[in-house]
Amino acid sequence: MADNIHLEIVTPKQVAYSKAVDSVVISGIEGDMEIFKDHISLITFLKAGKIIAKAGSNADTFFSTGGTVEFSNNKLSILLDNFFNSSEFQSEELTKLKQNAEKKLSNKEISDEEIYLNNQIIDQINNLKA
Amino acid sequence: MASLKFLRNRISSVKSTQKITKAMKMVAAAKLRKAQQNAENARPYSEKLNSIISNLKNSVTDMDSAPKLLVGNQKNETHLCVVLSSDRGLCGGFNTNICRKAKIYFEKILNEKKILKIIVVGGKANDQLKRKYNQYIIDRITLKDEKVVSFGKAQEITDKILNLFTRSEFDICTLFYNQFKSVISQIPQAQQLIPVSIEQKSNQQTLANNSEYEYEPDENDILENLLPKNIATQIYAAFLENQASEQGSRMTAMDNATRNAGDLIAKLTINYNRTRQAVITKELIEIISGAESL
Repeated sequence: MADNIHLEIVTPKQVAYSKAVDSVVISGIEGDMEIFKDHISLITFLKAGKIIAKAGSNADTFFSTGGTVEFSNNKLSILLDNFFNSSEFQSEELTKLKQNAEKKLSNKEISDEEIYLNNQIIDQINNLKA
Repeated sequence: MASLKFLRNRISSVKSTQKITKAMKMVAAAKLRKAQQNAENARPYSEKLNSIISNLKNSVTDMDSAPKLLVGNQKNETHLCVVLSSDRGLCGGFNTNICRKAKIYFEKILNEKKILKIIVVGGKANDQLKRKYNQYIIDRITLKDEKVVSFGKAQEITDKILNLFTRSEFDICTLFYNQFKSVISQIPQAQQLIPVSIEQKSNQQTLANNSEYEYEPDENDILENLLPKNIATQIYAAFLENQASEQGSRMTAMDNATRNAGDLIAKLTINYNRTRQAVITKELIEIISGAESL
């Protein structure tokens, strides 16, 4: 396990994923990043996007519309609002989330940041469905 | 002595009550397992979130610019109490225990001449609190339309609370719910939501973690986003605990009811048999004495 990081993905409903991996690609709020072993301790937010956990030649891909990431001592904890396996990319749930984001965008009073985040959700879900 | 017919009816009525309580017990047991599982599954998330926030809290040095949700608005005048209960009865002391705990707290606040505001969640708390505290209840939230409480419901309540907070309508927010300990024991809890109370971990551990974190964006931004989420998570966790407690409490209550019904049936049956024998004996005596007199 010496050259691995431990990835744990938790949602309010369950512990969705818990495995040793080589690296993880996340879409942080200020840009995508890939976390390898011995990364500096870090706390950041996620925007909508894929999370790719790479272990050897394998890669597991997930999708979420947002969450929080904490990395310390080679342990990566990702707290997600929602969680989709690659098999669920076409599910109804995602369509609902997209509609939700569209509804929020139609509200004139939201901040620029929220507009950006909601647009991101729509774009990313469109990408997945394409 | 009661008539035979009366006893017969009584026995059959207790028997059908027993059937109902037995069925309810089994349903509660099945639901309990699921509710318990849900509560346990949710625990890692809230624990992680708590640990992140406590790390952040330690790194915030300037208390004046820190988010209000973390440090409160330095007043202690208006208290908001959120009481979580169930919508259904027949679950032993479940709702009463929460309400009792809440009432003690209400009295304390009112005695200190502070302002009290209450949000009741679930029908039973409303029923129990409205008689005495009706003028303090500012909102009633029903759970009737959902079988299993979703994160969305917790979010809805959180939004309401945060709305009130940004309008400075209260200073301190406390959540009342039942913590699930085991099937026979549920502990009513009062948990302070705003300002955030986080159990302090041992100093050494926090110090070691604290210094090296890199934040993206900076600490205060992260806190401002995380704290509302934390409240939603805590309310959700409280809901799940509450649900497990409700089913556990119902299961015990129904188990007791079934046993009591069994005892009652045994007693009534003895009574019934005695009465029947007495009637037979009486008839025999009448026949014999009638024959003798001939």
